[in-house]
Amino acid sequence: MLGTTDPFQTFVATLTFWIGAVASIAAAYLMVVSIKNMIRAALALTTVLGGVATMYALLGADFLAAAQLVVYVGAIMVLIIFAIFMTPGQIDVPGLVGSRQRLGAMLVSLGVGVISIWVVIREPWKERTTLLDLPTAESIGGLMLTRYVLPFEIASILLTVALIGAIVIAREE
Amino acid sequence: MDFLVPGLRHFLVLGSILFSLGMYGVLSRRNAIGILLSIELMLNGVNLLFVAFARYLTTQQELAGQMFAIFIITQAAAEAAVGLAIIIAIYRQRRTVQVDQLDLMKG
Repeated sequence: MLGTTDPFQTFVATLTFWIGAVASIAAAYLMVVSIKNMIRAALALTTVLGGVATMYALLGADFLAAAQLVVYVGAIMVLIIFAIFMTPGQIDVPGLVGSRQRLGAMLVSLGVGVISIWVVIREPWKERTTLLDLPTAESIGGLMLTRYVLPFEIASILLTVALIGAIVIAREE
Repeated sequence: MDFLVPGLRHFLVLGSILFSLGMYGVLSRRNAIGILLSIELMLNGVNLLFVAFARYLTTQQELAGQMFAIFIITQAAAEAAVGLAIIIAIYRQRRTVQVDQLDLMKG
């Protein structure tokens, strides 16, 4: 975790951050720009998800890092890969739209990226110096049943609805 | 070498880069599953911003950002399930998941 004064811990955290960040950005870039095969794109996304889980761990969000690995890498990626397998003949087709729309997409996303990076670098953030209480799982569990109990219940209804809806939509007639 | 030690801005820049790469993917992919993958990339970029703000900025209710990220992950799971079900249903009918060939409603 970051924020300690121990130089060795800071060194390890810095090294982890740069490895994770470079791997995530490289995998995300390859995924959206050059990979045509859907299975490979899904595996590249898995790399990004792992890198983001590393970032959560560095930011002191231990529960969230575990949840990211379990839910995203464990469940959503398996779902996506199954869906890719269930659409045969569509895995390797030319992946990108025509060059004019691609140019427009590049301009829009480059604009969004440059503007947001410029804003977050220029903004004088008032950073606090205290750290989070670790581990966070206990406090998150308490908050879910007190302050955030309504969103928690709504999320459970949403998951039930999504489950039933997915079965109904994808079922063979 | 102090600028190498990750602070708030490092995480925010990383999240912004992931978000804009995901946006490029959404706008340029033809395969509907590829678009869904890119949406997951955008959601992850936003989640990273939430967690970074929760770690560095908020002075009270420090876990609010993490709670937001947890609910976004839940919603992403629901979205992926329904979205992939729709894509598979479309594939059954039209034998394609290329979004530029799904022009049934085109006048």
